[in-house]
Amino acid sequence: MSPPAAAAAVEHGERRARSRTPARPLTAPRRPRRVSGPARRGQTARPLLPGRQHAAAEAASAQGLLRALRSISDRPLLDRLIRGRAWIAIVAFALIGIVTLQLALLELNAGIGRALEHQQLLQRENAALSIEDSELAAGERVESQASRLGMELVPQGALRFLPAHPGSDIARAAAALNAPAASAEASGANGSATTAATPGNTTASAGASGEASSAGAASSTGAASSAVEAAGAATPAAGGGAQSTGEAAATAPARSEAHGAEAAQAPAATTTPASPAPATPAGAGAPAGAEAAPAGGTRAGPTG
Amino acid sequence: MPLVQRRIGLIFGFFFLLLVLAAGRVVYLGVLRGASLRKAAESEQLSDETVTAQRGTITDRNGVDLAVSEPAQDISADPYLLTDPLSAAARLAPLLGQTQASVLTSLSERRGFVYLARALPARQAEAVLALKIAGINGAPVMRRVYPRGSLAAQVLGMVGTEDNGLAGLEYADDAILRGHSGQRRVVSDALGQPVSITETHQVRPGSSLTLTLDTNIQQRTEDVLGAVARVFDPKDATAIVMDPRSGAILGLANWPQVDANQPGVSPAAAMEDRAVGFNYEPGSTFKVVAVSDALNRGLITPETPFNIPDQIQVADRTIHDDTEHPEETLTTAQILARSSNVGAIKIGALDGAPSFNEWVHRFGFGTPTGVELPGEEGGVALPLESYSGSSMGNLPIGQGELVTPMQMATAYAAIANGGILRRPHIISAIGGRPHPLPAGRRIMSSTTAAEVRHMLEGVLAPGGTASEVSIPGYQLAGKTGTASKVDPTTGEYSQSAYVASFIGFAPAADPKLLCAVVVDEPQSGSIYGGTVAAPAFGQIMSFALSYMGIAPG
Repeated sequence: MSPPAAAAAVEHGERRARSRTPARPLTAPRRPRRVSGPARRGQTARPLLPGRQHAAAEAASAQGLLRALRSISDRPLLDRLIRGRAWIAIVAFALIGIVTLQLALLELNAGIGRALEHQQLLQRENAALSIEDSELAAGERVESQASRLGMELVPQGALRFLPAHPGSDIARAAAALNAPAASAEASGANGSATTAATPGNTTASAGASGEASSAGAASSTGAASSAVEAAGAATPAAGGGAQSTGEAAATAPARSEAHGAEAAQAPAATTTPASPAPATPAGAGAPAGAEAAPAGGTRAGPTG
Repeated sequence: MPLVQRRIGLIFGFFFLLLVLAAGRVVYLGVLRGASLRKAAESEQLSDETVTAQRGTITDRNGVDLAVSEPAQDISADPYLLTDPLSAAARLAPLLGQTQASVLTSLSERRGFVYLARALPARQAEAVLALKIAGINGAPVMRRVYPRGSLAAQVLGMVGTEDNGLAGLEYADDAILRGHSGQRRVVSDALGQPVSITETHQVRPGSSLTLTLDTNIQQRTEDVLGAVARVFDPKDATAIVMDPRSGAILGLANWPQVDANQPGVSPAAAMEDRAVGFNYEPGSTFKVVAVSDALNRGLITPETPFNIPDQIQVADRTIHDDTEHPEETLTTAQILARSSNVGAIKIGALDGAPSFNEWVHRFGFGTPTGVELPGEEGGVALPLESYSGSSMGNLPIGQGELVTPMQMATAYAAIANGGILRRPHIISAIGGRPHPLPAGRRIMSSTTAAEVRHMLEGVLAPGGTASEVSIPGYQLAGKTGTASKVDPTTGEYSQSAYVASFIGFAPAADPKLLCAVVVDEPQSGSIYGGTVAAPAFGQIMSFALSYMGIAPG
């Protein structure tokens, strides 16, 4: 007959105690039991270490979060939402959206790749064009092209700069305005090379009204030839002045006030060719923002 | 067991087997061969491309491109991957612009990498790669092109194969021009189309440089120097055209010329920019220093008469005038016009060594001018303590000190600019932003400067040392210089090696252009500044004055 379970357990426990731990004296002092309540006076509570404080705070916040989640899951509203059939549509829409987005992204990347290739191509073409542009603007080349078209460099000393008389020049220029000749009008209408039409490439001449000038050829090119451009471009606007084509240009009065100075006169022999001509060598490279005309007179333009 | 259940079991077993097979395959591909397959995928689908930064362009004052970078490719080969080198060489040679033999030699090397062409223009490179020869590869780089060839080659400098500046402005402003290359990661699909492009490092192109140079003035200056070289066969020559009012350099030419696109063809010395790197004894062009000092201090006037013998003794040295003449009386202006050594020494004696030395340094001699060109020499201007008893016998006439053409041009620009010395500059804008104009400092009174200018007109007037040079309508002013060079073997002044120079400006009353021409060791014809350098000055100025639209005066 086996002993009752409780008795057996007690007996087994006693046996273990006897076999493992030596006997302790019964008079051993017991540790004082912790008493809850405020700390007694004279005793200071040991503060928690900063690390432990932090851990305790984290544990508290995690527990709070868990409680909050639990409370959300218990809400009937959420239950109704999850069980609704609309979710099927939402999830399906989201899945399709994700796939579509991915496809669009792939397409976009492929487009970027193509754009990069195109950019490189354009960069290359741009560089090539810059090089070509610089080569074409070389003075030697322009000079040879111009000489083939019958142009020649203005001899040294041929340039003359006339003194300006702001008080009287405008009135004299206005008085010298003539009605445009019929032939000049016709040629202007036909689109012949007027200085206004081709200010950058034209060798023009302008007659300053009554102001005798010994200037030789006043070959003007580009923006540097301010006085001559003034003659060509400003004349028609100055009240139906002559179109500055060919011979007409030789008699066209300059709007000297356009540059506050008189325009240079040049013989008709050096007037504009009927067709637009390339720039003279020096003028081809004339700086667009070339130095402004000096106060004492205007410049007939660099001609090389 | 019923039949249905057995069938269900069979189907389950079948699918389970499939699942086991799939899992096994996954383990095989993902674990056993995972590393190698990942590498293969990366090499085929993933590529890190270097986006080469485009080097900034260098343009002249009118926007004409002087140095441009264009996309190119380095073409290389892995000879081990070539199955038929002979056939490959035959197909590649015409596209590479090389002989078949040279290409074959490269392809036959027992190496895994060999360059076939560096910086091949993009079109050519694409044609090469379009051949799809296994083992032939291309790496994108930038190629520097100088559209005007030799124009201002020494000023612009050159760029190495790694797109780094090696000389000239390309070297001095490499950090501005170079930019920073970027990198992007490209994921491609099976067809090679990019499906993802990520810029891992942003590319930053280099900034452009706008120079004060004018290509037309530069071209004309180089042409004139070339003509001088043909006539006088010098060792080398240089010329500077400057706006004295601002210190802007409009032209800076060197001879012999160098093709900037093929610098290797020319000797290395030809790449030197002599305008800033050539130290020489200035000779008579230096006489303005002593004269300016004496004028500014009121010791003399342009009309002050001096008794000028044919020679003068200073300590142990006897200094002669260039030509024998009886004792005569010359004014200060005539001393400059005729370039009398004795007269200049007498004026220097009036100045006294301390004051003269101070004026030498006041003009900026002995230190680099600070122009933005690399390799600028500072010359040698003796400190006062190093003066010997005879120093004041040779320093006022331009012997015993070393200067650079740029220093001389700058000093004369100060005279032309009413006595205000301004640092010369060649860069007008960086990245489109205007470079601030260097501040000037007054080194002499405007009256003194005007008097010196007026006296320098006499050099080009009848009786002057450069009287044959004139430009109709313009009043020129300047000074000739003919300096003996020291013979390195004897340590004495040579009787055959000279430096001929001329520095002048126009219009004399209100100078707007200055030109300095320095010809080193003219061998044939003449050796004098008045006959070698002054006519070149006249030709350059004749063009530049009208080109710039400067009114006569």
